[in-house]
Amino acid sequence: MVKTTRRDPSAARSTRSLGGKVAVLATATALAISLASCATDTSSSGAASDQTLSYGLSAEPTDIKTGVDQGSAAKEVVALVRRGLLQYDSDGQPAPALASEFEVSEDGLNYTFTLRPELKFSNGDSLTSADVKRTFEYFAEPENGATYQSQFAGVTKIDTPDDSTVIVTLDTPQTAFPQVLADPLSAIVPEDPLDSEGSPVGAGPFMITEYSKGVSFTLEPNPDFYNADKVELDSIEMTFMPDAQTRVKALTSGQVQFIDYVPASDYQSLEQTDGVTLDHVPGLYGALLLNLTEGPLAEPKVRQAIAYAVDRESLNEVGTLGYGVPGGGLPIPEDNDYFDEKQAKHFSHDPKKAKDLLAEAGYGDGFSLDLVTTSQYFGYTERAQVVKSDLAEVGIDVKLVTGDYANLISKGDSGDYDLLLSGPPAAMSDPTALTGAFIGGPSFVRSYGINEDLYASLLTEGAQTPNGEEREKIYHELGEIFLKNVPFVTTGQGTTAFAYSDSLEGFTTIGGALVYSSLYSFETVRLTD
Amino acid sequence: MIRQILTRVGLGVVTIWGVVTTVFVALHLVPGGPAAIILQGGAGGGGVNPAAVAALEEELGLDRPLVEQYVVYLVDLVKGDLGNSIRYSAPVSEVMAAPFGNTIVLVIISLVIGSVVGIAFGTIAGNWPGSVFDRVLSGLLSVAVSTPGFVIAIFLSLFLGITLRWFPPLGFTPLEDGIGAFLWHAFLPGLALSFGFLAMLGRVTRTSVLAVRREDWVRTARGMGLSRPRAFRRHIFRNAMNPVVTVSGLQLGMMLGATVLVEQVFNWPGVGLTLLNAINGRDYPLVQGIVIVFAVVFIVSNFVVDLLYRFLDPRVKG
Repeated sequence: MVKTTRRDPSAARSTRSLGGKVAVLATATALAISLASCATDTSSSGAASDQTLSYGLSAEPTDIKTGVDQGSAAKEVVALVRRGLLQYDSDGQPAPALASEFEVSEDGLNYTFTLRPELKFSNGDSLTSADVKRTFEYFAEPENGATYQSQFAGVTKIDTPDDSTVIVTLDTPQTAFPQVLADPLSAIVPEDPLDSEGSPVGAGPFMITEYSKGVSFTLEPNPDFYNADKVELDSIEMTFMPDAQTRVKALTSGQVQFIDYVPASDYQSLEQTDGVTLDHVPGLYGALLLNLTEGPLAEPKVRQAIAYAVDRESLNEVGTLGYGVPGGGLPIPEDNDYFDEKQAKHFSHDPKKAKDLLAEAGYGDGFSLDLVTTSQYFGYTERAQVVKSDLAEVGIDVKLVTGDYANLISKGDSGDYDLLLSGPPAAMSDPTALTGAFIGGPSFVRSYGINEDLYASLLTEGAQTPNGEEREKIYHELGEIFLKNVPFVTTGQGTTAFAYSDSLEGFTTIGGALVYSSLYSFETVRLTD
Repeated sequence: MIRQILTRVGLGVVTIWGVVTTVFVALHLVPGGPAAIILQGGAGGGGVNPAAVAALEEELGLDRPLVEQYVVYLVDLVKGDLGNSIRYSAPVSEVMAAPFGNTIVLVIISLVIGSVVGIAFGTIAGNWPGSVFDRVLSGLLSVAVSTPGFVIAIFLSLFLGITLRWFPPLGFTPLEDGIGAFLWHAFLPGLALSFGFLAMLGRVTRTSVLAVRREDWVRTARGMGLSRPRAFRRHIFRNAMNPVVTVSGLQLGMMLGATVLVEQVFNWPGVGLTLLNAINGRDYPLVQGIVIVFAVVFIVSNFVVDLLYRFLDPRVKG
């Protein structure tokens, strides 16, 4: 059975305006709706007597650092054991979590959160407004490496008039502030965020009761969770399976009932396996990062040439086996309100045009480049081969430099590359997430030597402008500058998938950047006979 | 004899120092440091600002000069302290213990299977050279010796695990949950690990048996009316075992290397898988600890082989 979650991009999304009147995310109603919309496509049958779910996890998330995006496996675990003020519902919209409601002032600068009564962490400690304040202040410190450091650095004041009220004051409006708070990475932590075993502690629906190093986690329901009576699973046996083939084999042979990070190369066999559901959704963007500091790549025309030389259709076929979505504009998912189809199609595969541009830039005779890639995960080396042959066609000689993922990160962080296959960071579906692709200093997720000043003011303006036409204009303009300067070459959205036994009921996959927030729905999933 | 043992121990210590130094230098030469990987090394993760990486490096003591780190490591090592794993924030000796135990189980299973089957095959083939037995067994051994361990592992996992469902295709249950279930899960990876060893042993046994059968003293014994089975037991088999013992000792090291891929196929939490993850995570102390133990196993097994050889073959004089 296959369930493909893909939204119709033309379907208008409700956009909440913060101007005019106070926006209130209603509590009980919203929660009721979000729970009701946890649509299941299995006909509801009886709950199984054994509610133990076995789960094959793609990596061993050791050394969890609060607020840091340490990759998918770590985020999945955090989404199970921790909670923030808000979370995502199954439609990828912010919904109440630890905060039962919040209000935004008319100018968009003050957020007043009301916490649920008598909240507790899984270690039994009370969770009060003081914990919220301390956690947010921790996120704001640059050396703590929080993914949303810049957003929390924009908080000028946090007032805690009583244990259940938090008033956050921002220096400028942040349209995506609710999305920031709904991310698993923004979960509230106790004074000691890790227990003595090094496992994360939080206020989520589950808690880690056993950690066998290098082998597995055992999770059990957290009796102090505010919605503890809604939790159906009795335990989750999470086995670390870094090898993708192993995870697929474990699922098809019935050793586990749920796996994450399914490689596209196994979609077909899983689709044909009885008793297994494959949920694949368009995932994160892929991009060819460029070292812009010197040589031919410092020339915008050369970069445009590369953007025309690359065949995105082939890259999509090879890197995602056709399950992704090719696109060459700003890294915005196609189901997003700010996706611009014309810009995404701007760079057609046109080797002749690429050659002309190279000649105009004075590189008609071609040149050589190093392309850094990794053999550790599916899709990288395969795509690198396509790029190599596409660029050879226009006279650019590419030498592949491969190694493990750590090698790619190191070379990317230090700019030790000409071309590098990576992906712009994306942690939320709001275009605010674009900022990370342009701004933030040297990193393997951004082109080395990118001219941040060129994009900073538009990105800042976009982040502060309420949803609507004016905001669309800003991102359209940013897209035009992107197409002219080509600070990095986008290739399109990849594909992400979870796969699980048909007996699991109530799991919803959220697409794009929010895919790991899908684990929020474990709060209410159950196993059926 | 005592002087010999002391010399060997001294040589062993020098070898281990060489191994430690090589691994230390090699690991630090490879791009990528543990702090950057802890903060952003997970697939699907994002970037993190350099300040955070620098802060974590300082916390882990990785910002100190390399020479200083090296000297500190050596001094601790002499005291018997392998340091702390960066990833697990726990002593390396503690982190390594369980995976080593799990791998030793696989090695024992494969040594038993490998020696029994390998020596039996080799003896039969060597005793009846040119027979149908010999041709079939030698063919099988050639296939086994030339097929990479992980290919055999994948085949066993699919065929005996998924198709026939005789054994679990992958996975592990801790010993606390019962020795039966533990061994039931350990059997396939152990079997997969045994193939290379079995094939090597079979071929060496065959060659050795063939060679010993042609020795003058065997012919003399047969000429003096010793029956074939007795001649085999008293003269051929014991003498033919000398090279087999040597090869077994040397193969033990090869087997430790093979665990890396076999354990990955079966997701068996042994030292091979731990080493692979430690390298990918640039967990310097953990990689060094595992490599040191590997080196010790190599050195000790070689030494034991030499001692056994002297015992088995009185012609060898030290």
